[in-house]
Amino acid sequence: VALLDRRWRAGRRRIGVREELSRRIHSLGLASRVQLLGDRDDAGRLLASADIYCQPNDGPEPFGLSFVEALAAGLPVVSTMLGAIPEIVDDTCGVLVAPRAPEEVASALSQLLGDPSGDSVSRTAPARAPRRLVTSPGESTRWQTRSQTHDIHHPCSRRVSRLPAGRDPIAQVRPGRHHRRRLHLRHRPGQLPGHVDVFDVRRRHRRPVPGQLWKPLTPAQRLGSHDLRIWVAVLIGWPVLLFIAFPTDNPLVQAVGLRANAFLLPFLLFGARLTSDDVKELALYLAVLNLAAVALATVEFFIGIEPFYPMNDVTDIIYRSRDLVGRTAYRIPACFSSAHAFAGAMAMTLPVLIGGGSSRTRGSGKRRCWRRP
Amino acid sequence: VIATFVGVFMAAARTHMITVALIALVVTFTGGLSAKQWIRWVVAVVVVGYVVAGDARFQRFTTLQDRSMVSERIGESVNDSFFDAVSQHPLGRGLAGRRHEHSVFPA
Repeated sequence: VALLDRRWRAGRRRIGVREELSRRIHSLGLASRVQLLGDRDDAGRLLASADIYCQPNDGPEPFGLSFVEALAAGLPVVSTMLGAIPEIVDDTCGVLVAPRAPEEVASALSQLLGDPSGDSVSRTAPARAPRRLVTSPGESTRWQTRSQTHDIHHPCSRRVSRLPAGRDPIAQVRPGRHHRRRLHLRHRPGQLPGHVDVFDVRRRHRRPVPGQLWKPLTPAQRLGSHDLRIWVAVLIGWPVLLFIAFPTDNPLVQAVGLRANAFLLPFLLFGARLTSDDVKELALYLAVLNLAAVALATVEFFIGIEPFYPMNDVTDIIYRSRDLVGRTAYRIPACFSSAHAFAGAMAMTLPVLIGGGSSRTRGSGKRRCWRRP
Repeated sequence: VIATFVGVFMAAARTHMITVALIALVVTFTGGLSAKQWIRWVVAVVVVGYVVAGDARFQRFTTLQDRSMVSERIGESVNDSFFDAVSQHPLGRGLAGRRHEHSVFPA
């Protein structure tokens, strides 16, 4: 930035070196020209508002997903001739310079900044992105959206030419620092030496993203949520209609009822965003919980409820609930209320358990109607 | 899935027995199961049936055959018509509805 003679801004997403960068920025008098944006979840929006993607690596990367994202956003890329970057970026969509050569980076940026028409670098970046990730120019935007909502489902296979044949790829390949948090390299049994899958592990280590529920649904999510729309409409429309058209009850009571319905809406939105893999994962957790609950209930079934609920004034209601088999047996786990809560929880999880165990599709978001919550 | 079915029958809650029976019917007739899934499903149903048949405590659903009892039981819980309930409590009666005192539950 210091070598450039134009006013422009650069962003930086890395954390942990912020203090050092701030000190150097101020010492070089660049405070008005450099913004440290911090760790962001809206990379897609930032890319869309940028003119150039510059990531001058000083070490090799096995694969540069961020470069593909930038290309998918239609940005020319400035980077260095290291690792797999030349396999992604060439002179039709960016400029590659020697590593650790800030003058060349500045020259490349000056060249691109002085060429707003983009004639020197093709703006057909999506066509240069790997076909496995971006299948069409129109698809690039959707892929970018899925990436931002942690819902991307490659794996994209890519040959890592720098990987020595016959060596353990996980031990040899070190993801670049920019991607270390997001990418994991996996070697499949029987795979050719030097060939690894690059896939996103954010699904495994995902963090809640503020506002994620309100982001637009991807086409697959929209397709999968089609039969939920009527329920969303009913849950919203019914109380609103009655609240306005038939105010027959105390407004506070009506508001409570409205709140109860509103509680269900986020669950519908969550359900709409679940892919088949999500359903499988959820089914696994529910299966573990159900097995634990049924195991405890089975113990209670065989040894009786007395060890669990010593007879006293508080548990009296349980012992008055003996209404099974001619009033000779108690409910499991205790009385009417807990039995219904127990059985209701079991019954509600059943569609997810069956759906998660019988899904044929993987990662496509395609589901059958009876797997709906 | 087997444990979940057994859990429902173990709790002896007739409402939820009806629910899981309906789910089983839906899966059986509209689930679009593959051959392998059909085998698993049939095995699950047979195992659940065997367990339920083995103990009278799991068979509370058989009381649903007594129509007069069912009518009386529903009459106790649902003592307003649907339209009365909708007109008087359009957003639902919730837990504050009449005849929902805890003492009537065990009956």
